[in-house]
Amino acid sequence: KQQKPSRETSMRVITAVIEGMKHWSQYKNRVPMLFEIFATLDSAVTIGEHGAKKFLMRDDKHVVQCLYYENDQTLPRLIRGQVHRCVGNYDKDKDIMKCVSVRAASLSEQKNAQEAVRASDAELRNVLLTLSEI
Amino acid sequence: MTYAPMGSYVPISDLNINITHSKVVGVIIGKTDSRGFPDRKNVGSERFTFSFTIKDSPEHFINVSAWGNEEYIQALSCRFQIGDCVVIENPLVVTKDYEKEERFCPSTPSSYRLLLTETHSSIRICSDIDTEARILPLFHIPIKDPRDFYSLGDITANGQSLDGHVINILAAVQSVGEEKFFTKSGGCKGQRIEIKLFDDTGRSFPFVCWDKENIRLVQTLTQRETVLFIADARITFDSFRKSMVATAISKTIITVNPDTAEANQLYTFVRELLQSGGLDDQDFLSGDDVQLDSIRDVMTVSQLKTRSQENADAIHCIIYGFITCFDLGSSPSKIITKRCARCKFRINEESWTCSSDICPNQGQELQANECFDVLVDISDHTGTLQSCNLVGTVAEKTLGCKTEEFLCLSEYQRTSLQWKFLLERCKIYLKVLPSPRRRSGMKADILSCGLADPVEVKQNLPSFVV
Repeated sequence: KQQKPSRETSMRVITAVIEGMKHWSQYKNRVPMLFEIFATLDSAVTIGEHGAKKFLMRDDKHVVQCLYYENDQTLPRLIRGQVHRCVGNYDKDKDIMKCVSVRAASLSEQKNAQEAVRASDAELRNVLLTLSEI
Repeated sequence: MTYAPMGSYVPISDLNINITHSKVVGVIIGKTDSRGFPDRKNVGSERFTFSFTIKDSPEHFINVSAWGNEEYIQALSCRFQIGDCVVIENPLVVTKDYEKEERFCPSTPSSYRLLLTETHSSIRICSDIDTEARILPLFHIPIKDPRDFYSLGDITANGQSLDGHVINILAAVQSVGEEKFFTKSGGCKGQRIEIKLFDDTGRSFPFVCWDKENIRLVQTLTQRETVLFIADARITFDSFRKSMVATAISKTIITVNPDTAEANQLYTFVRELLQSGGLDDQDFLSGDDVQLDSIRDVMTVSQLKTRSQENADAIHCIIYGFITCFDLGSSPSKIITKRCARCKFRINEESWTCSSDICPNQGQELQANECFDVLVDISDHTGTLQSCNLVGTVAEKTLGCKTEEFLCLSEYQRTSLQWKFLLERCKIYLKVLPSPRRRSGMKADILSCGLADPVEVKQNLPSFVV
């Protein structure tokens, strides 16, 4: 009898579009994950509570509010209308992405990110299948 | 003429040219690859051959060669391998041509050798359990005097004066490299494997095998648990590496886990060294000489974890993953350790002594080198590989600075250096070894790490999707 491989419980870094991030993050309690998104800055960068930097990211029709706390690294200058790369976690209740790394995305990254999104999607679909079997 | 009694085996010590219809049993202690030669009697065609050495008592063993057409020889050669107990029926006993035999075959005490021919002789795996039980333990008895060996320290100490000599070595297996394939100048395929030997006098001593049969044998060895008696290995000076190297030649017989007092002593030393963790410290500084460009396997984190559970050998692979834990900001003592300049072991900073019991520097003034020792987590969409070692020169290359330069950086500069990699997608070359003492069950050493090219990531991602 084939033994079922033990389920991977370590953290994953998932490359996603904004809609995908919002969808997948509903499973984050069972599948620890961090998201990487590529999206266009669609607001000015303002200062929110506790000095957090606030800004809006958009891809196609989807938008997410982002927060960045400048702990050990200051936020680089972000340019509205340009594509950036954000890594962080999505808080479903507040509808906010808490970013831990934000920077401009290179052209090559923008062009080639799609495959990583596809691979992450496929992997998570598989993981969810095994979750529902348990 | 003497006829051997039916059903019983003729001991190798009793073989002579007057015996016919004999039946010989023995364990195969060495075997060559099959080769083709132009047939002198039949121009344009080739004759094939391979030979092996069988043993039926602690003192007696004999070389056997088979000749025939390609089909017969290939098929015959595939049927058994080193370590098998075989029965040979009706071999031709011929007197040894000492000069030829001594040059190209293992030296045997017998004055004869056996010939196998397709029409007369046969060979099969021994199916008689009692005979097998008597014969198989002989596999672990070296063919030379068990005290007649060079320690690795002796070989190094003799240096180039040993160049070209054929000697015996007793040593333990530190690591088994990857088999490499290449095309020889004549167009035929070749292969090579390198294993690293160690003993109480030396580490990471290279032993190279070119023969498929020997490669198959050494690939089955458990690293850090196996002792070898290598009879008649050739020692040469490798001018590229500026060090001595041992090579298996057609005379060489490798005895795995020899049943001798000397081997047992070495085995005890190996166990103690492993328990003290000594080897772990050593081997990532000894310089892995796996060429990076020979590593082509791209894996995801979960694929690597699965592979390392199924596999006791070292895995070399590339991961396009995110560095998710990488702390350069904490105190330098956490990421820079001091190591003994002589033996590369960690230094006990309280007593300021080398932590190795076998350090050649013992009792002398201690000299220490500083060395990066950073733990890194690597994640991708399938999971995280925790606590990978980024050490020594690999760390220097990754960070672009030496330890002394790093210590001069401001806190701000260190943080910036950290964020150059933290949460970025990197192309990471890894060597992973099973390590039951660790919680993760494995030990992952980073061989190279740099930011990944998005085009390369894209090209390698589709293979991840099931």
